Amino acid sequence: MPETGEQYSTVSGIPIKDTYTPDDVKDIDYDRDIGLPGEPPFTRGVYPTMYRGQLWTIRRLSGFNTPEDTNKLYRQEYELGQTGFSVAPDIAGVAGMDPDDPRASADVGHAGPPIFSLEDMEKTFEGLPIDKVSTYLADRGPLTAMYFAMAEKRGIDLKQLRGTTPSDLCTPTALNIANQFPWEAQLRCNVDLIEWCSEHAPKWYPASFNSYNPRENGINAFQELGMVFASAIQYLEEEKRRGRVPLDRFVRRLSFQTAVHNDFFE
Amino acid sequence: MHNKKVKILMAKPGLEGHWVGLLTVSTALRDAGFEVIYGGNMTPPQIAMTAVQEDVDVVGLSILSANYMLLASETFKELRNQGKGDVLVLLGGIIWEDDFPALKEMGIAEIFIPGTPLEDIVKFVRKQTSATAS
Repeated sequence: MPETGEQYSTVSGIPIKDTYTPDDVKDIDYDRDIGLPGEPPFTRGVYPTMYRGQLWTIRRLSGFNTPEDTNKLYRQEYELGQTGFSVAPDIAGVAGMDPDDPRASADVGHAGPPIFSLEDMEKTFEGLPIDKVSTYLADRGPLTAMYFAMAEKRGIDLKQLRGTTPSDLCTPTALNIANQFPWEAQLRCNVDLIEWCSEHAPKWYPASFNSYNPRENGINAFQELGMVFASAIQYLEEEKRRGRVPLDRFVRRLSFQTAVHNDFFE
Repeated sequence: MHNKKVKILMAKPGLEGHWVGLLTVSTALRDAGFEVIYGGNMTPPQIAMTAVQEDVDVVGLSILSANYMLLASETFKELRNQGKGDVLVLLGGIIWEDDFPALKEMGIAEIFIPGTPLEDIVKFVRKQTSATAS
Protein backbone atom coordinates (compact mmCIF):
# COMPACT_ATOMS: atom_id res chain seq x y z
CA MET A 1 0.00 0.00 0.00
CA PRO A 2 1.42 3.44 -0.80
CA GLU A 3 1.90 5.83 2.10
CA THR A 4 -0.90 8.28 2.77
CA GLY A 5 1.42 11.15 1.93
CA GLU A 6 1.05 12.76 5.35
CA GLN A 7 4.12 14.22 6.95
CA TYR A 8 5.11 11.89 9.76
CA SER A 9 6.71 13.44 12.80
CA THR A 10 7.17 13.07 16.52
CA VAL A 11 4.79 14.78 18.94
CA SER A 12 7.03 17.86 18.98
CA GLY A 13 7.40 18.01 15.20
CA ILE A 14 10.67 16.24 14.46
CA PRO A 15 10.18 14.64 11.01
CA ILE A 16 10.41 10.85 10.89
CA LYS A 17 11.63 9.07 7.79
CA ASP A 18 9.97 5.87 6.65
CA THR A 19 13.18 3.84 7.00
CA TYR A 20 16.58 4.48 8.54
CA THR A 21 19.68 2.83 7.07
CA PRO A 22 23.43 2.79 7.89
CA ASP A 23 23.66 5.87 5.70
CA ASP A 24 21.71 7.85 8.30
CA VAL A 25 24.21 7.05 11.04
CA LYS A 26 27.46 7.09 9.06
CA ASP A 27 28.56 10.42 10.57
CA ILE A 28 28.25 9.24 14.15
CA ASP A 29 31.62 9.16 15.85
CA TYR A 30 31.46 6.62 18.68
CA ASP A 31 33.82 8.39 21.08
CA ARG A 32 32.49 11.87 20.37
CA ASP A 33 28.76 11.12 20.21
CA ILE A 34 28.12 7.96 22.22
CA GLY A 35 30.92 6.93 24.55
CA LEU A 36 30.62 4.83 27.66
CA PRO A 37 28.11 5.19 30.49
CA GLY A 38 29.30 7.63 33.11
CA GLU A 39 31.52 9.48 30.64
CA PRO A 40 30.92 12.54 28.47
CA PRO A 41 28.76 13.06 26.47
CA PHE A 42 26.78 10.74 28.82
CA THR A 43 24.61 9.47 25.96
CA ARG A 44 24.50 6.09 27.66
CA GLY A 45 23.76 7.41 31.15
CA VAL A 46 25.27 9.51 33.90
CA TYR A 47 26.74 6.69 35.98
CA PRO A 48 29.07 3.87 34.90
CA THR A 49 26.86 1.05 36.22
CA MET A 50 23.48 2.85 36.00
CA TYR A 51 20.61 0.64 37.21
CA ARG A 52 22.80 -2.40 37.75
CA GLY A 53 24.61 -0.36 40.36
CA GLN A 54 21.56 1.31 41.85
CA LEU A 55 17.90 1.13 40.88
CA TRP A 56 16.03 4.41 40.44
CA THR A 57 14.28 5.67 43.56
CA ILE A 58 10.76 4.26 43.80
CA ARG A 59 8.40 6.70 45.49
CA ARG A 60 5.18 8.53 44.83
CA LEU A 61 4.08 12.03 45.76
CA SER A 62 1.66 11.46 48.60
CA GLY A 63 0.23 12.72 51.85
CA PHE A 64 -2.98 12.74 53.85
CA ASN A 65 -4.72 15.44 55.87
CA THR A 66 -2.60 15.23 59.00
CA PRO A 67 1.05 14.44 59.74
CA GLU A 68 -0.09 11.38 61.75
CA ASP A 69 -2.14 9.90 58.89
CA THR A 70 0.62 10.74 56.45
CA ASN A 71 3.07 8.85 58.65
CA LYS A 72 0.80 5.78 58.60
CA LEU A 73 0.62 6.03 54.81
CA TYR A 74 4.39 6.41 54.45
CA ARG A 75 4.98 3.38 56.67
CA GLN A 76 2.63 1.32 54.50
CA GLU A 77 4.32 2.53 51.35
CA TYR A 78 7.75 1.76 52.76
CA GLU A 79 6.61 -1.76 53.65
CA LEU A 80 5.35 -2.17 50.09
CA GLY A 81 8.86 -1.55 48.84
CA GLN A 82 9.16 2.19 48.28
CA THR A 83 12.80 3.22 48.44
CA GLY A 84 12.18 6.89 49.07
CA PHE A 85 9.54 9.40 50.04
CA SER A 86 7.91 12.27 48.22
CA VAL A 87 6.17 14.79 50.40
CA ALA A 88 3.18 16.74 49.15
CA PRO A 89 2.51 19.45 51.71
CA ASP A 90 -0.97 20.92 52.01
CA ILE A 91 -2.08 23.76 49.76
CA ALA A 92 -1.63 26.38 52.47
CA GLY A 93 1.89 25.09 53.10
CA VAL A 94 2.81 25.23 49.43
CA ALA A 95 1.63 28.86 49.47
CA GLY A 96 3.92 29.47 52.42
CA MET A 97 1.06 30.52 54.67
CA ASP A 98 0.70 29.71 58.34
CA PRO A 99 -2.44 27.69 59.08
CA ASP A 100 -3.94 30.60 61.01
CA ASP A 101 -3.66 32.92 58.02
CA PRO A 102 -7.25 33.91 57.09
CA ARG A 103 -6.45 33.39 53.40
CA ALA A 104 -5.60 29.76 54.10
CA SER A 105 -8.67 28.81 56.11
CA ALA A 106 -10.27 26.51 53.54
CA ASP A 107 -7.02 24.91 52.40
CA VAL A 108 -5.20 23.78 55.55
CA GLY A 109 -4.75 20.02 55.51
CA HIS A 110 -5.96 19.59 51.92
CA ALA A 111 -3.94 17.87 49.20
CA GLY A 112 -1.39 16.90 51.83
CA PRO A 113 -0.51 17.36 55.50
CA PRO A 114 0.09 20.74 57.09
CA ILE A 115 3.78 20.79 58.01
CA PHE A 116 4.47 24.16 59.51
CA SER A 117 6.68 23.20 62.41
CA LEU A 118 9.52 20.81 63.18
CA GLU A 119 7.08 18.78 65.26
CA ASP A 120 4.84 18.20 62.23
CA MET A 121 7.85 17.08 60.20
CA GLU A 122 8.88 14.67 62.95
CA LYS A 123 5.36 13.25 63.19
CA THR A 124 5.30 12.75 59.43
CA PHE A 125 8.56 10.78 59.49
CA GLU A 126 8.25 9.01 62.83
CA GLY A 127 9.85 5.57 62.72
CA LEU A 128 11.05 5.97 59.13
CA PRO A 129 14.71 5.52 58.19
CA ILE A 130 15.44 8.87 56.57
CA ASP A 131 19.14 8.02 56.60
CA LYS A 132 18.50 5.09 54.28
CA VAL A 133 16.20 6.71 51.72
CA SER A 134 15.99 9.66 49.38
CA THR A 135 13.19 12.12 50.13
CA TYR A 136 11.66 14.57 47.70
CA LEU A 137 10.12 17.62 49.33
CA ALA A 138 7.74 19.65 47.15
CA ASP A 139 9.24 22.75 48.67
CA ARG A 140 11.29 25.87 48.08
CA GLY A 141 13.01 26.07 51.46
CA PRO A 142 11.05 25.83 54.71
CA LEU A 143 10.33 22.09 54.57
CA THR A 144 13.95 21.41 53.68
CA ALA A 145 15.13 23.32 56.73
CA MET A 146 12.75 21.31 58.91
CA TYR A 147 13.85 18.04 57.35
CA PHE A 148 17.53 18.85 57.94
CA ALA A 149 16.77 19.90 61.53
CA MET A 150 14.93 16.62 62.08
CA ALA A 151 17.91 14.69 60.70
CA GLU A 152 20.30 16.57 62.97
CA LYS A 153 18.14 15.82 65.99
CA ARG A 154 18.32 12.14 65.08
CA GLY A 155 22.10 12.36 64.90
CA ILE A 156 22.20 11.78 61.18
CA ASP A 157 25.17 13.25 59.33
CA LEU A 158 23.82 15.84 56.89
CA LYS A 159 26.68 15.00 54.56
CA GLN A 160 25.02 11.60 53.99
CA LEU A 161 21.44 12.81 53.72
CA ARG A 162 19.83 12.20 50.32
CA GLY A 163 16.88 13.91 48.74
CA THR A 164 15.66 16.78 46.61
CA THR A 165 14.28 20.25 47.01
CA PRO A 166 12.92 21.36 43.65
CA SER A 167 13.39 25.10 44.25
CA ASP A 168 12.50 25.99 40.62
CA LEU A 169 11.23 29.36 39.46
CA CYS A 170 9.00 28.46 36.53
CA THR A 171 6.67 25.81 37.88
CA PRO A 172 5.27 27.65 40.90
CA THR A 173 4.39 30.48 38.56
CA ALA A 174 2.88 28.18 35.93
CA LEU A 175 0.90 26.34 38.60
CA ASN A 176 -0.38 29.62 39.98
CA ILE A 177 0.84 28.93 43.48
CA ALA A 178 -0.62 31.55 45.77
CA ASN A 179 1.31 34.09 47.78
CA GLN A 180 4.45 34.09 45.69
CA PHE A 181 7.35 36.31 46.38
CA PRO A 182 9.21 38.01 43.53
CA TRP A 183 11.43 35.94 41.25
CA GLU A 184 14.54 37.81 42.33
CA ALA A 185 13.88 36.97 45.96
CA GLN A 186 13.11 33.37 45.10
CA LEU A 187 16.25 33.06 43.02
CA ARG A 188 18.26 34.49 45.89
CA CYS A 189 16.81 32.01 48.40
CA ASN A 190 17.29 29.08 46.04
CA VAL A 191 20.90 29.95 45.23
CA ASP A 192 21.58 30.44 48.96
CA LEU A 193 20.27 26.92 49.54
CA ILE A 194 22.42 25.46 46.77
CA GLU A 195 25.51 27.19 48.17
CA TRP A 196 24.78 25.89 51.66
CA CYS A 197 24.06 22.35 50.49
CA SER A 198 27.13 22.18 48.31
CA GLU A 199 29.17 22.52 51.49
CA HIS A 200 26.98 20.96 54.24
CA ALA A 201 24.71 18.47 52.44
CA PRO A 202 26.54 17.48 49.26
CA LYS A 203 24.30 14.48 48.56
CA TRP A 204 21.15 16.59 48.65
CA TYR A 205 19.83 18.11 45.41
CA PRO A 206 18.73 21.61 46.38
CA ALA A 207 17.47 22.32 42.86
CA SER A 208 15.51 20.24 40.40
CA PHE A 209 14.40 22.28 37.44
CA ASN A 210 10.97 21.18 36.38
CA SER A 211 9.61 21.09 32.87
CA TYR A 212 7.25 18.18 33.55
CA ASN A 213 4.24 20.26 34.55
CA PRO A 214 4.64 22.74 31.70
CA ARG A 215 5.00 19.82 29.27
CA GLU A 216 1.70 18.41 30.50
CA ASN A 217 0.25 21.84 29.86
CA GLY A 218 1.24 21.96 26.22
CA ILE A 219 4.87 22.92 25.62
CA ASN A 220 6.86 20.61 23.35
CA ALA A 221 10.16 18.76 23.87
CA PHE A 222 12.25 21.64 22.51
CA GLN A 223 10.65 24.10 24.87
CA GLU A 224 11.11 21.67 27.76
CA LEU A 225 14.85 21.43 27.21
CA GLY A 226 15.06 25.16 26.64
CA MET A 227 13.19 25.79 29.85
CA VAL A 228 15.27 23.64 32.16
CA PHE A 229 18.56 24.69 30.63
CA ALA A 230 17.58 28.35 30.83
CA SER A 231 16.78 27.84 34.52
CA ALA A 232 20.08 26.10 35.18
CA ILE A 233 21.99 28.79 33.31
CA GLN A 234 20.25 31.52 35.29
CA TYR A 235 21.25 29.89 38.57
CA LEU A 236 24.82 29.38 37.37
CA GLU A 237 25.08 32.99 36.24
CA GLU A 238 23.87 34.11 39.68
CA GLU A 239 26.50 32.00 41.42
CA LYS A 240 29.12 33.22 38.98
CA ARG A 241 28.14 36.76 39.92
CA ARG A 242 28.37 35.93 43.63
CA GLY A 243 31.66 34.04 43.31
CA ARG A 244 31.14 32.22 46.64
CA VAL A 245 31.20 28.59 45.56
CA PRO A 246 33.33 27.08 42.76
CA LEU A 247 30.99 26.57 39.81
CA ASP A 248 32.21 23.02 39.39
CA ARG A 249 30.90 22.18 42.88
CA PHE A 250 27.74 24.27 42.48
CA VAL A 251 26.68 22.67 39.23
CA ARG A 252 26.82 19.15 40.67
CA ARG A 253 23.93 20.03 43.00
CA LEU A 254 21.59 20.75 40.11
CA SER A 255 19.06 18.19 38.87
CA PHE A 256 16.17 18.10 36.44
CA GLN A 257 12.61 16.81 36.22
CA THR A 258 11.42 16.35 32.69
CA ALA A 259 8.46 14.59 31.14
CA VAL A 260 8.92 11.13 29.69
CA HIS A 261 5.71 11.93 27.78
CA ASN A 262 4.51 9.40 25.23
CA ASP A 263 6.81 9.66 22.25
CA PHE A 264 9.56 7.07 22.44
CA PHE A 265 11.83 8.93 20.05
CA GLU A 266 11.79 12.05 22.16
CA MET B 1 -36.11 42.71 28.96
CA HIS B 2 -33.65 43.40 26.15
CA ASN B 3 -31.53 40.65 24.60
CA LYS B 4 -28.33 40.47 26.65
CA LYS B 5 -25.36 38.20 26.06
CA VAL B 6 -25.18 35.57 28.79
CA LYS B 7 -22.34 36.40 31.19
CA ILE B 8 -20.41 33.72 33.02
CA LEU B 9 -17.89 34.19 35.82
CA MET B 10 -15.37 31.36 35.97
CA ALA B 11 -13.39 31.11 39.18
CA LYS B 12 -11.42 28.92 41.55
CA PRO B 13 -12.30 29.56 45.16
CA GLY B 14 -9.48 28.82 47.57
CA LEU B 15 -5.75 28.70 46.99
CA GLU B 16 -5.41 25.58 44.87
CA GLY B 17 -3.95 26.71 41.57
CA HIS B 18 -4.36 24.04 38.86
CA TRP B 19 -6.15 26.18 36.29
CA VAL B 20 -6.13 24.18 33.08
CA GLY B 21 -9.65 22.78 33.60
CA LEU B 22 -11.05 26.21 34.34
CA LEU B 23 -9.33 27.71 31.31
CA THR B 24 -10.39 24.89 29.00
CA VAL B 25 -14.06 25.21 29.93
CA SER B 26 -13.85 29.02 29.82
CA THR B 27 -12.47 28.86 26.30
CA ALA B 28 -15.18 26.44 25.19
CA LEU B 29 -17.89 28.69 26.61
CA ARG B 30 -16.36 31.76 25.01
CA ASP B 31 -16.14 29.99 21.66
CA ALA B 32 -19.80 29.02 22.04
CA GLY B 33 -20.71 32.69 22.21
CA PHE B 34 -21.01 33.39 25.91
CA GLU B 35 -19.31 36.34 27.56
CA VAL B 36 -16.81 34.82 29.95
CA ILE B 37 -15.10 36.59 32.80
CA TYR B 38 -12.09 34.54 33.80
CA GLY B 39 -11.61 35.24 37.49
CA GLY B 40 -8.92 32.67 38.21
CA ASN B 41 -8.29 32.21 41.93
CA MET B 42 -10.73 34.33 43.93
CA THR B 43 -12.02 34.19 47.48
CA PRO B 44 -15.77 33.55 47.91
CA PRO B 45 -16.35 37.24 48.79
CA GLN B 46 -14.43 38.26 45.66
CA ILE B 47 -16.50 35.87 43.57
CA ALA B 48 -19.73 37.34 44.90
CA MET B 49 -18.52 40.93 44.48
CA THR B 50 -17.46 40.27 40.88
CA ALA B 51 -20.73 38.47 40.15
CA VAL B 52 -22.56 41.59 41.26
CA GLN B 53 -20.28 44.11 39.55
CA GLU B 54 -20.39 42.21 36.27
CA ASP B 55 -24.04 41.27 36.70
CA VAL B 56 -23.37 37.69 35.65
CA ASP B 57 -25.96 35.03 34.91
CA VAL B 58 -23.77 32.05 35.70
CA VAL B 59 -20.94 31.30 38.12
CA GLY B 60 -18.67 28.36 37.31
CA LEU B 61 -16.48 27.04 40.11
CA SER B 62 -13.50 24.76 39.63
CA ILE B 63 -12.26 22.90 42.71
CA LEU B 64 -9.66 20.16 42.72
CA SER B 65 -8.63 20.31 46.36
CA ALA B 66 -11.31 18.14 48.03
CA ASN B 67 -12.59 21.09 50.10
CA TYR B 68 -15.51 21.78 47.79
CA MET B 69 -18.24 21.37 50.44
CA LEU B 70 -16.77 24.19 52.50
CA LEU B 71 -15.86 26.41 49.54
CA ALA B 72 -19.17 25.91 47.72
CA SER B 73 -21.15 26.69 50.85
CA GLU B 74 -19.07 29.83 51.53
CA THR B 75 -19.53 30.95 47.95
CA PHE B 76 -23.30 30.51 48.17
CA LYS B 77 -23.38 32.42 51.45
CA GLU B 78 -21.51 35.33 49.89
CA LEU B 79 -23.62 35.29 46.72
CA ARG B 80 -26.79 35.45 48.81
CA ASN B 81 -25.36 38.19 51.05
CA GLN B 82 -24.62 40.28 47.98
CA GLY B 83 -28.03 39.70 46.47
CA LYS B 84 -26.90 37.31 43.76
CA GLY B 85 -28.44 34.17 45.28
CA ASP B 86 -30.42 33.49 42.10
CA VAL B 87 -27.42 33.09 39.81
CA LEU B 88 -26.87 29.69 38.19
CA VAL B 89 -23.93 27.97 39.90
CA LEU B 90 -21.99 25.16 38.26
CA LEU B 91 -19.19 23.08 39.72
CA GLY B 92 -16.32 21.26 38.07
CA GLY B 93 -13.19 19.50 39.24
CA ILE B 94 -12.51 16.48 41.42
CA ILE B 95 -15.83 15.86 43.10
CA TRP B 96 -16.91 12.60 44.73
CA GLU B 97 -20.20 11.35 43.32
CA ASP B 98 -21.33 10.52 46.86
CA ASP B 99 -21.37 14.26 47.51
CA PHE B 100 -23.49 15.19 44.47
CA PRO B 101 -26.84 15.12 46.36
CA ALA B 102 -25.56 17.37 49.14
CA LEU B 103 -24.06 19.79 46.61
CA LYS B 104 -27.28 19.93 44.60
CA GLU B 105 -29.17 20.50 47.84
CA MET B 106 -26.87 23.45 48.47
CA GLY B 107 -27.86 24.90 45.14
CA ILE B 108 -25.28 23.69 42.64
CA ALA B 109 -27.21 23.27 39.38
CA GLU B 110 -24.87 20.70 37.84
CA ILE B 111 -21.53 19.10 38.48
CA PHE B 112 -19.06 18.34 35.67
CA ILE B 113 -16.24 15.96 36.49
CA PRO B 114 -13.29 14.86 34.32
CA GLY B 115 -14.45 13.05 31.19
CA THR B 116 -17.40 15.36 30.59
CA PRO B 117 -17.44 16.41 26.94
CA LEU B 118 -17.11 20.19 26.66
CA GLU B 119 -20.10 20.15 24.34
CA ASP B 120 -22.26 18.81 27.17
CA ILE B 121 -21.30 21.74 29.38
CA VAL B 122 -22.04 24.23 26.61
CA LYS B 123 -25.40 22.58 25.89
CA PHE B 124 -26.34 22.65 29.56
CA VAL B 125 -25.49 26.32 29.99
CA ARG B 126 -27.34 27.20 26.79
CA LYS B 127 -30.44 25.32 27.88
CA GLN B 128 -30.45 26.77 31.39
CA THR B 129 -29.82 30.36 30.33
CA SER B 130 -32.23 30.40 27.38
CA ALA B 131 -34.96 29.16 29.68
CA THR B 132 -34.62 32.29 31.84
CA ALA B 133 -34.09 34.80 29.01
CA SER B 134 -37.18 36.58 27.78
